[in-house]
Amino acid sequence: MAFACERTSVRGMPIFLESSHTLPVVDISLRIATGSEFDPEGLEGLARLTLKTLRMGAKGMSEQRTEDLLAGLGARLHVSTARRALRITGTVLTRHVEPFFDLLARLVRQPALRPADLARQRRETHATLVAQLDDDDSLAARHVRKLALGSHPFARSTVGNTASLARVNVAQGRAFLEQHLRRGNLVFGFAGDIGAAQAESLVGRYFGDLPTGRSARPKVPTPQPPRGRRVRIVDKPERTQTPMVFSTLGTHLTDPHLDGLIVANTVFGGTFASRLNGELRLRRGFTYGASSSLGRAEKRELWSMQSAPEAEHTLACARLHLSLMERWVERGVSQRELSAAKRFLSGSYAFDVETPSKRLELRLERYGAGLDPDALADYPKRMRAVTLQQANDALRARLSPDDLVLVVVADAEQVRDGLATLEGVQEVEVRPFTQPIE
Amino acid sequence: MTDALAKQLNQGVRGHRRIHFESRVAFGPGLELSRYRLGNGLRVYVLPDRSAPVISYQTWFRVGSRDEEPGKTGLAHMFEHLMFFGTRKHPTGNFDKLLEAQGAENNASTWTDWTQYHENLPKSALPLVIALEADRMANLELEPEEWAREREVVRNERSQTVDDDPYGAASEQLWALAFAKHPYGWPTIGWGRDIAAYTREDCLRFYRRWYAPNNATLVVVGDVSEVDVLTRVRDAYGALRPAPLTRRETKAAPRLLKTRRKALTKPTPTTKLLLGYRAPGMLDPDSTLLGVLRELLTGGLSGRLTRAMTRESELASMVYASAAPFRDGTLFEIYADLREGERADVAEARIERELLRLAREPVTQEELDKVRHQAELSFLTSMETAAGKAEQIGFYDAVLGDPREVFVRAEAYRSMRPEDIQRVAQRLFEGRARVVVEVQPAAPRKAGQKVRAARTRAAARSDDRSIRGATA
Repeated sequence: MAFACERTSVRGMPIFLESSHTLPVVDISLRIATGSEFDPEGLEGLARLTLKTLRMGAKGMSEQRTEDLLAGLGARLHVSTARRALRITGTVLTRHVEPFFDLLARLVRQPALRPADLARQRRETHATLVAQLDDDDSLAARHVRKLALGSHPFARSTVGNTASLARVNVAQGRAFLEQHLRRGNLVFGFAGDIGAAQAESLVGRYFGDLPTGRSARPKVPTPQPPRGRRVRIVDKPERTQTPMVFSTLGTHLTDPHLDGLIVANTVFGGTFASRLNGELRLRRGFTYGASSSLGRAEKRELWSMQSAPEAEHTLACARLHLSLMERWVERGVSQRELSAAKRFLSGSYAFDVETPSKRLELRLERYGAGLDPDALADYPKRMRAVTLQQANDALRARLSPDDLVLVVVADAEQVRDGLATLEGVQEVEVRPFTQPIE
Repeated sequence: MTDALAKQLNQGVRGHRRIHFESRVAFGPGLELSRYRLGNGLRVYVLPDRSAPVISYQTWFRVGSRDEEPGKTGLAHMFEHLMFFGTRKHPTGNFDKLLEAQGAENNASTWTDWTQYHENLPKSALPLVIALEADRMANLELEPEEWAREREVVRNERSQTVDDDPYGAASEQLWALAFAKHPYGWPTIGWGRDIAAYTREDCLRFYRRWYAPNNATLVVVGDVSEVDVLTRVRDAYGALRPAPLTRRETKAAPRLLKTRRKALTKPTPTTKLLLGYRAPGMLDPDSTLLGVLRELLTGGLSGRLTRAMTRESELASMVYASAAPFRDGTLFEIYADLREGERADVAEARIERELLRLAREPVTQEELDKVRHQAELSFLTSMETAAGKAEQIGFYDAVLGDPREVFVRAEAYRSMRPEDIQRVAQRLFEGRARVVVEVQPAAPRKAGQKVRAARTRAAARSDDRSIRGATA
């Protein structure tokens, strides 16, 4: 499938464009090449808190006025903070693109960053941290990341914690923005009912006079794989089922084993008909769903498998997870499974790139990760090219069933003794669900 | 043109396989939606859209949890699960494997008034999905062991979404308080005791009664040719027999005369508060304005209730209003996740104040414009993908019998006046009883501990046989 994605630039700032005039709507994306990896030690959450406070209003404009302006334009504006990017994304009716971009630029270029706004964002973040305790899947995922990666930057919280958030102030936020708001860090994307000339004009007018420069990224060490098998029970009473996540180190974005692992993981837990879901849900009825996922970053990220069995099946389900993984890594996948997975991956790609906004986001992601954004269309070809040997070699090279962490959210009294008998497990740790993860 | 197409396809064709052209209407920029009916009653919508080489294929059955009986709740949802099992032609597992091997995604959902199945396909997979969907509409076989296992899966789903989820548990109680014996009062997933008690025969009866071409609508949107779709649909579905559909009359739920309350205790760090006001269903023209009330109250950070609860008073970390789009009546719901230590009665009073303000004062023109623009944006973005368009068509056909209602409603947003909003707010909130459920945090447990595990390799692997089966 070929796309007519345009790419241009204004004063060194790349602009990605996916024009489509079918609907009178425009998606706009601004990415700033900074993120929580620049949060100083003890100030975890600085980047996120600053961005959220920035979103509350430009100088001379209250939060309420900002929200009323956005709503009046028929626009949505979201901000999010990742380890390596600040993302500001919006969707707006075509007829309001100009005033919307003006507002976006004012927020970014002249943020009010009022102490009262920052204090409110801090309280909201605290409330969010508390509210997250209700979500068992999210609890398990956050615990497993910490348990598997320890003090590595990949395990560092973007949100921060109560103590670090209390130390963040407006002056630090301003310094953060001054350091990173430079032309070399900004990338723009436009999708939908807009052309190159208008996009270039907007970027040039509103951001062309920013100072030059680019932030030097911190060096990220290679994560060390977990050694042996460890279990953490996040103790939550009255659970009728047990969300569980197993993790170990997987692959990275430029890993020669990446494509082999993508295909092999699809066989194991990437679809409804996969081995994992087939065994745990279809053959046993243990769980509503089971899957495995392959994280990707500039260094090796986590590979995970997860399910949520009824509490009475916790131990049997955990054992089955382990033996299925062992068998998968030791014996690999079959030719028939490989062919089906390759067809799925190359065929379903059509949905990943179905709309201009989806294509834009994928290209921006690739660009941000240092990959060729225009090689996106090669993905189906890459998947079709994976051989059985490549898939099975990748499994053995990258995944170790002996070095796993397991996190379950469960009533500890019910599952602790059973989980202690899992093969190779040396320690079972119990933590109340209300205890901070950091 | 479409009449001519139907005539062409009907040459030498008799009975249920004959295709009847019903209508053709504009549907979005540059697109036209055609509606046909097969002789056996199957409704077919085709919307060619070549903006991407994909197809959305959806099957909507006009049966949902409203059609169940007390004691057998959850059957419609259970059957949604069972539809992925085997037929004589396609044994269990084939449906997903064959579709996945084409790069297709599929899923299904059930609510009070309908059950829908959808597949998103590369365009080359159209013949396959038509063959599979037609086959399972009539030829499903429920092997007893598979049936029993799937019931366990449904129990798991209930645990995940209701029993272990404070909001799920509270929402279920809210609807039960509001609708009591009316079918909207029981959860679509079913009461736990009913799921445990129903039999395979119950499921088969349900299938024979409701899964028939004259109770279904096909929606095909995407990179297709109309003649190709119709030819294939005619050949695959034309032989299916219609069922004698007898739909039970549902009495309207009696008016709520006084406020009903329930309190739950759950292992959650904060209090949750849920309020529900009885509201008109989709058949009532006022239902369009429920979305306007929702947008005014919690649409983005400028929403009145969002501002009052999360900004001004900071009573809640999140507040959300919604009105489920049900045919015969609904609840206007407000969910609030209170901040630590905040009291439910204080939050309830603050919410009520904002609701009554809508009933007592007209909204400003500025607020009205905001809602109009947001509604326009939501409508346009919902029409971006083939699946989004198919869902609009299928939903409005299933609930109101006509997909053009989506445009009628969009137009109603443009023409509404402040007094319309005030009138509907009065109808819902002024002097009305409500239902209230609050969830209080259970007392916390003791601190953590570590346990040394037995260093043993004796833990038996109980799954060798099944693994061989999977990798054969």
